[in-house]
Amino acid sequence: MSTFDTGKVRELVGLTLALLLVLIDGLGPVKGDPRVGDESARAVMALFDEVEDGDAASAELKMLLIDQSGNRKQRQFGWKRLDSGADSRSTIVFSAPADLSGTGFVGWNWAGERADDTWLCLPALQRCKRVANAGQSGAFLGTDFSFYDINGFNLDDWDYQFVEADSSLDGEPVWLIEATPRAGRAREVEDKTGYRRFHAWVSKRSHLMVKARYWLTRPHREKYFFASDVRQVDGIWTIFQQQMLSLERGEQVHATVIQLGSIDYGVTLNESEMTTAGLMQGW
Amino acid sequence: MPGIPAATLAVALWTAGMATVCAQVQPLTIDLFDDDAPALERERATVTYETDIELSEHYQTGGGGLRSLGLDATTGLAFDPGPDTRVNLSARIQSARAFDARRGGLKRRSRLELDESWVRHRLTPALSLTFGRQVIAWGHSDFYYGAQLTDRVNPRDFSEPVLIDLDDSRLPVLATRLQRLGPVEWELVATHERRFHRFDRAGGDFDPLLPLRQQGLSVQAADEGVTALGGIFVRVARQLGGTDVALVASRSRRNSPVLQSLPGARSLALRHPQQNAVGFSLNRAVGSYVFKTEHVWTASGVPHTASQSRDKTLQSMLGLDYFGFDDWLLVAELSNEHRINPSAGTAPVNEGNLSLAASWTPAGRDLEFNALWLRSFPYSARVARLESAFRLNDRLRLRLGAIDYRATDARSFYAPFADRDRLYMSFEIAF
Repeated sequence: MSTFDTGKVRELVGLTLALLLVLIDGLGPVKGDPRVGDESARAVMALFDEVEDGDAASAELKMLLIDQSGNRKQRQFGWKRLDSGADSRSTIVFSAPADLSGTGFVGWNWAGERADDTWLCLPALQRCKRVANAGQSGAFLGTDFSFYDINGFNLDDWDYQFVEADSSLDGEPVWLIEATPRAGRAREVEDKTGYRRFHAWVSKRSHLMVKARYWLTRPHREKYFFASDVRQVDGIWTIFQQQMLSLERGEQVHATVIQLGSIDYGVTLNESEMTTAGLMQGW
Repeated sequence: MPGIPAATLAVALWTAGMATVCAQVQPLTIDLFDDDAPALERERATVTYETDIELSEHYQTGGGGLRSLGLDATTGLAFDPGPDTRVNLSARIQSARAFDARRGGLKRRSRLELDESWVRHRLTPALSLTFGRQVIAWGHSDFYYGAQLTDRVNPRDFSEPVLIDLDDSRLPVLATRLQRLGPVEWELVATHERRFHRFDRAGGDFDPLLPLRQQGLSVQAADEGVTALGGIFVRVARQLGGTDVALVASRSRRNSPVLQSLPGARSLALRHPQQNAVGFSLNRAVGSYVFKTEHVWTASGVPHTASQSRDKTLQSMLGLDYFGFDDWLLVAELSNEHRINPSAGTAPVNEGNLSLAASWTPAGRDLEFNALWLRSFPYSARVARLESAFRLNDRLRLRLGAIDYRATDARSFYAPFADRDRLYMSFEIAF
């Protein structure tokens, strides 16, 4: 891929930023089965927001993008994550399709206000390029996830109330919670997130969000999130498949499916291999 | 309906309607791993193959046209003979057949060369040694025209100016590379090959010396080949609070040639004097922008004088990448070379380029459009390139493009190519 296949760079940047974010938080598992002391809606969402993830992980994944005409694009990639305190480092390396094989991303995800660092790496060209994180509310090109969906979520942006404190989804007990922009901040939150409100189905068993429905500020647009095949690996609750469907006037216009093939929480990683130079060396 | 408040009715109807919609939206039934079992272990060996088949036509009128059909194939094998050793072998074949109505007849040219072929051994988790023909890209610039800044190790392929992008233009060199990973990254590179910028063959469409040759001057090529020590390059890099910082120093032969007059004959020789360089690069993301800059100070020997004076240059690049619009990527770079040539006794010279590139990839489509525009100064010249690419499937891509060269000043590098505009089409196959 040459430098001024910039379209492809753009596609990869969007695609992989979304992946980095989805994988950093979306596969964030909940350990054990902590009891919920305060079952207020906000406390439940705080549980979801502050899920503990493993210290390190290595996984093989596939992603499928489906457009309105039913055309499908599939990607396969390996993913690694290493936590250091509240910060984390991730790498993604594509293994398919052939023209993306070897292309990788390095993401350093910082706690607090510091902006994340992201680099696109092209080992075939021996080149890494720093890329910028775009606005939070926009959809990343080619995916149905936005930056805010995963990484930008701020508990204080919303007011919460139970729609149903004792509901079930496919037989699994869940809390169904409605989130609306914080009183007095509606315009700011809508501009920032791109959402007017959302519903979250949070599993009482794993405390993971297993379904969500988002009402977009864009007219007649909605998104649905589904988590399926949720199971424990090494005692850690893990989502094996995530889907985000985009709808316009009730019709599906695009969909993103991310599926975990295997994951190893016991992997030994060091910080030097979670760098651009480390990724380029390919160990 | 008496007895039911309108607001309650509205909520009830809205809820009923939403419940209907909600009931219709179900997750897709898909299993992406139903065909094969994923493996966490890295594959022990991979074979890659990439081919470009390119058909191009010069559309400039006057003297007839040129049609050419080219094949550019690279095949590679990478494997790990041990847990700490990796071997990469790659070879490239370029072959072209052209019918040139201006100069008459069918022309053929072919080239086979060893591409990136090296062995890498990990001495410790943070220290590795690589030996072989390799590409080492250190710079932040996306354009190769003009100055070679901190990206100094590999010479470039200028045989089709602006048609070959920077990343495809680096020519691998035989080198030993010691690399230390960590919060501060160190690299020490020693090259063992004299290899310089590549230009089109003598008399070719993009031969920059064509005007001299047409005056009856002969030009001797520079000596290339394996040597014990071609150059030494050092780089230290660190990430500082969201900014990538790197310092570079080198001592090597200049990659771009200097013309030396040979006594007693109408002939010139291409010389590549020794050059010392020291420089730095920075880049930083701010919102949707990535700012990048590079600056290098060089001092070169001057082979066409008996004095010990040296040409001195300050090369600078300031650039901006913009990721703000969905589906768009914009890149702008301004580069300048401030050259002081005390031996020639002339005033300092500034030469540079303003380069702009934009790409648009419509969401959800296997389609992209790229535009590239370059303006040189002070010798007025500009190059414009438009290109679109369609991914036909995961292995096959179709590329269509056009390039236009304009140069009004004969001193411009692009002046000899002013009638070399072309349309081109290529199929890129990878597996």
